[in-house]
Amino acid sequence: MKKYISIVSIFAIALVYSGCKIERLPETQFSDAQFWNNETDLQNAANRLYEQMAGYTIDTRSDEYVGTTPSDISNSTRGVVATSGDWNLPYQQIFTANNILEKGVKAKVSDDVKNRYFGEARFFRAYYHFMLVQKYGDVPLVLKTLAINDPDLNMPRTDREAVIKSVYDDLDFATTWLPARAALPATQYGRVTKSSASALKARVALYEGTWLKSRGKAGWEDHLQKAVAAATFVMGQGHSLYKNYPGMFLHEGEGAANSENIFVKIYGVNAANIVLAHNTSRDLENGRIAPTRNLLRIFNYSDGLPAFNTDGTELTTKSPLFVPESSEPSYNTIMDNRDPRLATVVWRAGEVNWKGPWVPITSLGVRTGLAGKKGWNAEDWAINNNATVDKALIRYAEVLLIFAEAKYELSGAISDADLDASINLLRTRAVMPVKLSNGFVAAHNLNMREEIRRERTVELCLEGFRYDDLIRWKTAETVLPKSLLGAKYTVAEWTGTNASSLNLNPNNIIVVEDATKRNTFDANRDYLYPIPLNEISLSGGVVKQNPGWN
Amino acid sequence: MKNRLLQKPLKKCAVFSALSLFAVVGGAYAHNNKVHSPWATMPGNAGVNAHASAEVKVTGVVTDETNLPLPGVSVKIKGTTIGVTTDVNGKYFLNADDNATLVFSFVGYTSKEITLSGGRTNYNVQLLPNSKDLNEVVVVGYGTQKKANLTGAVATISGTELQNRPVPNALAALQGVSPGVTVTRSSGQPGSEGYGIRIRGFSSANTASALILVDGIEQDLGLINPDDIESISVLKDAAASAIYGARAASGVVLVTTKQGKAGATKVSVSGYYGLNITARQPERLNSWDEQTLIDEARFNATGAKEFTDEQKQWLQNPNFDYRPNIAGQDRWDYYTNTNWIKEGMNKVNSMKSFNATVSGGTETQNYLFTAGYYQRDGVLRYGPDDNSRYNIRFNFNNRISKYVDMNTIIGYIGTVTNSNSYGTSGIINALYRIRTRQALYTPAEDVTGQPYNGDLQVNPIDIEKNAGFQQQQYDTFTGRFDLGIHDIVKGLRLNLVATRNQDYYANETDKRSLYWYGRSTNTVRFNANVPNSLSLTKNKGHHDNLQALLNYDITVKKDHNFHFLLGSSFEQYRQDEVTAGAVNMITNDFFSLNYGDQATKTNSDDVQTWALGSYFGRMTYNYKEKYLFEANARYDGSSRLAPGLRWQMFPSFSAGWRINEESFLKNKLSWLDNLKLRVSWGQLGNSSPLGLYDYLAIQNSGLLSTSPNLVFNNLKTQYLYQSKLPSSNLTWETIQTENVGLDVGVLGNRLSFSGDYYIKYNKNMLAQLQLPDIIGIGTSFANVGELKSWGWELELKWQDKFRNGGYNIGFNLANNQNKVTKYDGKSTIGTGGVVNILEGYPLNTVWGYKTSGYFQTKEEADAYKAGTKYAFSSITSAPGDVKYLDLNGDGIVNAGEGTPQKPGDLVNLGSTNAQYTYGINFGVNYKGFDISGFFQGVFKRAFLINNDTLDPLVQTANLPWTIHMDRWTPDNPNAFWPRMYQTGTQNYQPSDKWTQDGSYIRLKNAQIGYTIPFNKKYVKSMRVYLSGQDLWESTKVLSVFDPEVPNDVTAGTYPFYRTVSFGLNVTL
Repeated sequence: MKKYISIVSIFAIALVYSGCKIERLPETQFSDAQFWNNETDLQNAANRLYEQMAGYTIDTRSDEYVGTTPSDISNSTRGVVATSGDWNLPYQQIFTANNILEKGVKAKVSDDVKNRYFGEARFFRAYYHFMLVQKYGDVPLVLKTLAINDPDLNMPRTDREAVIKSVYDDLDFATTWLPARAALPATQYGRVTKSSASALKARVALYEGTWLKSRGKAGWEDHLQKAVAAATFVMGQGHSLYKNYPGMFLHEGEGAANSENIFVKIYGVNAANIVLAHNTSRDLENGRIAPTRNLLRIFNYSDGLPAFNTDGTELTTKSPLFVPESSEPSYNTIMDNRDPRLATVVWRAGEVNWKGPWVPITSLGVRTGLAGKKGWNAEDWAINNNATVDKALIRYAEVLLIFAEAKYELSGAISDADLDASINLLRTRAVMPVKLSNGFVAAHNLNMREEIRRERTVELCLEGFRYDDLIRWKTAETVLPKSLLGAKYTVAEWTGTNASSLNLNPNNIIVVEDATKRNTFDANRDYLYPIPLNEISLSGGVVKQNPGWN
Repeated sequence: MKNRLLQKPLKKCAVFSALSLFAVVGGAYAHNNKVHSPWATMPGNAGVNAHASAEVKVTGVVTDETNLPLPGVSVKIKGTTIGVTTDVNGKYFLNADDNATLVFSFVGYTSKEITLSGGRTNYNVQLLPNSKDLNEVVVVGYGTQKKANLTGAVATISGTELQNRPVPNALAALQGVSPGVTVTRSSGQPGSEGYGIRIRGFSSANTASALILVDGIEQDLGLINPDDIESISVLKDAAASAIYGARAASGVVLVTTKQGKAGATKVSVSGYYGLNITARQPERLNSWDEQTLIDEARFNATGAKEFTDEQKQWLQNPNFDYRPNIAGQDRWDYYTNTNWIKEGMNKVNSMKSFNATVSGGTETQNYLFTAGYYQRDGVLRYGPDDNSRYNIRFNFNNRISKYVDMNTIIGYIGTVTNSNSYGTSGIINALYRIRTRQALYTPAEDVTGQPYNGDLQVNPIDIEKNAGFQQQQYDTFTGRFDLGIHDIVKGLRLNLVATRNQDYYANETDKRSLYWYGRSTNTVRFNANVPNSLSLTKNKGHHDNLQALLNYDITVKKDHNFHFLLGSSFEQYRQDEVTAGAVNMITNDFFSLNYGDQATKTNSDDVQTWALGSYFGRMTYNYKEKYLFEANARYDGSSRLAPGLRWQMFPSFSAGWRINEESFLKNKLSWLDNLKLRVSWGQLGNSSPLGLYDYLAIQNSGLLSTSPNLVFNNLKTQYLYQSKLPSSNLTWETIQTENVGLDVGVLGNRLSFSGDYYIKYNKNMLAQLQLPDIIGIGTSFANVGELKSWGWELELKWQDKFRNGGYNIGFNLANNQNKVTKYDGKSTIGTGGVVNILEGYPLNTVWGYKTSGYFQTKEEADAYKAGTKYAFSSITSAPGDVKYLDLNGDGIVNAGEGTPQKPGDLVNLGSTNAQYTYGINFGVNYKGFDISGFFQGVFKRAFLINNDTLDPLVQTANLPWTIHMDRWTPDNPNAFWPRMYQTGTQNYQPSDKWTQDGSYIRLKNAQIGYTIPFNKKYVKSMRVYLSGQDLWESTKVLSVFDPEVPNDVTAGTYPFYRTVSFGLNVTL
């Protein structure tokens, strides 16, 4: 018996000792080795760019609207942070783009196909580098993926000029290889086109040109010429403005049929099938997008004349339709006889909105007492967090405004023909009775630059442009320290609100944030964001902090 | 897919091996039976063949140390194989020569010999337990060793130390029992307590959980029934644990379950019923005090209050609770006062546990069967919030022949955890965040048909009752078959072991939609779980282990004792998971994938696999059991590493010197029983931070439920992305451990001491590098750090007996410290808070500013701020704000460059690691009574509370609690809390002011029991007891949080509790 047991024992040991292979490969995921082969692969990789891209964001950094709590950028009380999404999210998206550009090379597809997706990648790489420059000035220019031991991880910040040059290169490549708007199949609506790339270039060039010019720095002309050229290119791509102004921000304005859409974040599909949604309609109700009087003041009166400048200062000669704030008889007075767009931006008292007729109130966070209306969709509002209206990140109206501003800033003048080809198209669409012309400006002793800026501020209000405009115009130091004001309080219209619960100025106007709490804007510091502290410490001090932030 | 095809041969390989092993087992068994009956030669059955010549009939009763009859005792005639075993009543009958010597032996007891004389036929014998310490056999890796001969640091815990504690599982019972073994928990939620075990502090910055083997099968100790445990060995140093190689760096816990014993069938049942009483939780303010603080906070931040004085009066008026909104909104305005915590949480909840054990058999075949049930309710007052567990285990030992034995263990554990689909912490958070002025119910006149009011915030009571449930079921089946073939060559033993742990997990989450309306259904104020949805996850996993072990014992020239072990093992794991989901059910009350919206159904699968191949060996040598030496080595290969980097050797060496065996001491110092010096050195691996396929660049799918969605062309659209860079050259962490220890036993081993000092070097610690964010992608772990940790632990025990009883007292203390000696040269402390890895510092250091009370006047604030800016905020400081100190005098309180070299004004405020952990236990028994107590605590620890929780009104909905009433006002200048300030974080920067002193002492367990004297014929023993867990503590931690909470505790943390239980143990 011993013998048998011995034999089977040895046999068994041999089996176990022979060892089984320990190799295991993933079975429900694949790796780079099996990817990057064909057009579908390139498209799936490029789709990540669209997924990462932000759509609706709440931007209370300027003075045009407030959220439920003060913004520490708007009131200049922010501090230096260790890490920031403003910094790291763009770099995550830049990685995605660089990864496609490096690995997509091996795909076995024609150069046309490859370059189209490379064009998308370079479009987004430019988009995010520009976003970083707007906030931080000089930033590390990252044009390749970085391994964990790549010495370039500790690169210093690249001069803003060099970053912008790279942005132009990327956008020129994208304009060359991306499909024209008209050639984009309907099923691909939402992907970037030649128009998207060129419009973005116009935006970058205007920003950079005016940023330099307002600071008395050289080289602005070249940027503004690029802005005009790029805008002119887009104006030749068959775009037109949507038939009505408010509809641009509602479901009716969605899709390829509305050629005002140039670069869009798509939400959807609809209330019954929520795939990707935002909360804008509820944000408007709940005071997370509450327009200020500071914004309302900038709108023209229906005679085409203003009372306040875009930097918040008061004009000495005001429109005859202007009613002094101390004598506004009603909550609605400030909305009377104005540019028609104003009526599409805020609700009037008594107008039926989410809760029946609007009764002014400040509780629930609507700190200004003014309720935002622009982009409010009843069907989106019905269910919390489930709004699906698309967000146009670049629309044709902006291109027209870039064209007008760049033209004007280049030579200090703009022809009536150019005004008719740009700003007056917007006014016509908005049903504004008065057109802007050199004659009108002269006749009323207006300033053409200010009127062009006003048109931009009004047309693009609540869309996230105001803060960047104040920075490039260098007017933030004038605008941001001012008090943020809200609605006019009247006993009759403010049913249910006790005036003693409101912070009112002598004119019975709500003081949302008093100038005394906002007067810390430092022109030597606050035009640029502080670099996140970790970037400085982890680069061993190679990355330097912006001035004033220590 | 290509990969799946590749896998097949591999799977076959493992299955084939398993089959072969069982074939061997079966073959040996069958073969034996053919030859001859295996039982005939077995000594235990010799009674059948007992024959006699010139003999007497001897009889008697064998009892144990407590004078209880001891069944199953082997009574043999010395020098023969003739013998019997005692019966149920401890009685034996035997025919023997009238001058024979009888040997009485029983496992765990010292054998006794009696020589018959004078024709006396009745011999009653009392057997006493083995002297516990020295002859005790300790379970070590892949075998056992005499405790006296151990050279490594091994702590042993007997199962009885863990019993009768009203704790959820065996892991919870381990806390503080042994020095250097720290048990942590993160929550009080039934089934999700988050227990973790850490042995000798940190070996790595990464999750480094101890390897826990229950009868050799890797299992979650948190699922084990404490009553099933015979003993636990904790292998602490490299000498003891190197035999487990790449997974041993954080220590190894070997759990041995109870085995059957020869003897009559023994039945015991036990059970307890306990009450859990919530301890240390935040309390809410009444609505008018809450409003006072809200208005103060708003006024300080914006210059305007929310409520007028009149409105505040309404809050206090019990007859005025609501009114229609007079601003014309479609809502009610509420001015009531609701105690949400009382409405939503029970202060007292129950738990219960029942166990039954049946065991019996003979020396050659014995068994033990246990079944256990445990159940605990949670604090939520309504709806599902409980956990239950079923444990079944069957151990069967079978000696098949002189050469072959076969031990089988089969186990089943099932757990069910029920919770609310909204998420328990979400509900608790809501209970703390909802306004107290909001009514629980809608007014009587309300026409919406909804009973619950959700006007200002979602209604957590409605959610508890109606938001649907989540059920998690986990079933695990374990089997272990151990075929032993021995003594074919003298001293040689072969064991072939196969284990499998097969488990099933199912999760169903049914989210019912809830809406809260204004005054009419036209206005949805809030909603939850919209649209309604169902998600299902099911997975099946199996973990196989095949081992072959060769043991050889040989003694050369009488005094040179050798033991050799040679082994190999192959392990593989595979888990297949499928998840599916659907939304928009046809009805809100029936959840099945069959009724979901076709367009939005989701599904996904996930397969996880790994394999580990190992060869290992051990040699022990001792000379006269005086000089001890041991060497271990293990060679491991893992699928988790890149090909070419997979295999590594982990060696260890150790030596011991039993000084008391030296001739100059032996028999000279009668009070000295044991004096042993131990030293060891070894290298261990840690692989827990390794992912499954870290060396590959994986493309993730955008269609997974965890990925954000993308829409194109009105369809949910696929996208592929890489979430982290592959790490192609990573390898195990190698942790080198040195240990020196001393064991002392004196005065008949009544007083024993054991002490150890150790140093551990993690030479290539895995970490995610701190890299500039411009990298733009997550990184895998890389071997970029070095960690040194060191510490000591000591244990002192005294035990003694007196007439009718005995007592014991024990104390243990451990200290562990660590320091990151290298972290690829880069470290950042950011703007303060807890920093996990920082070169030159311990892990998890707390960094913050120094403060000096509050500004008391505007002048004081203005004067200070004129010369000192705060970098974290430009808000103008006012009376009641924290005064932060500008330590470096540069005119600004800031974080400098965010490095430890240039930290600005930040200072190191300690570490979240517990240092100096201790336990004190004592017990007394007298006659039938027994009392025991157990204190446990930590001398040094610092941690932070989550800022959103600490800072009231940092967000509008973060409401203040009762503790916040003691806030700064001109009338309360010595307040604990600063002035209220809405959405300002300036007063709650990480600082000495907010760093919690986490030291504590707590009465972990206290028991009082009584063994009721019964007629032994019917009931062998019956004990009733009262046991309390976590009854008392003393600590400086903020009164609303338990001192054991993890760092960054939040308001949503499930509260911990105190437990009082009543239990009964009966043996029949």
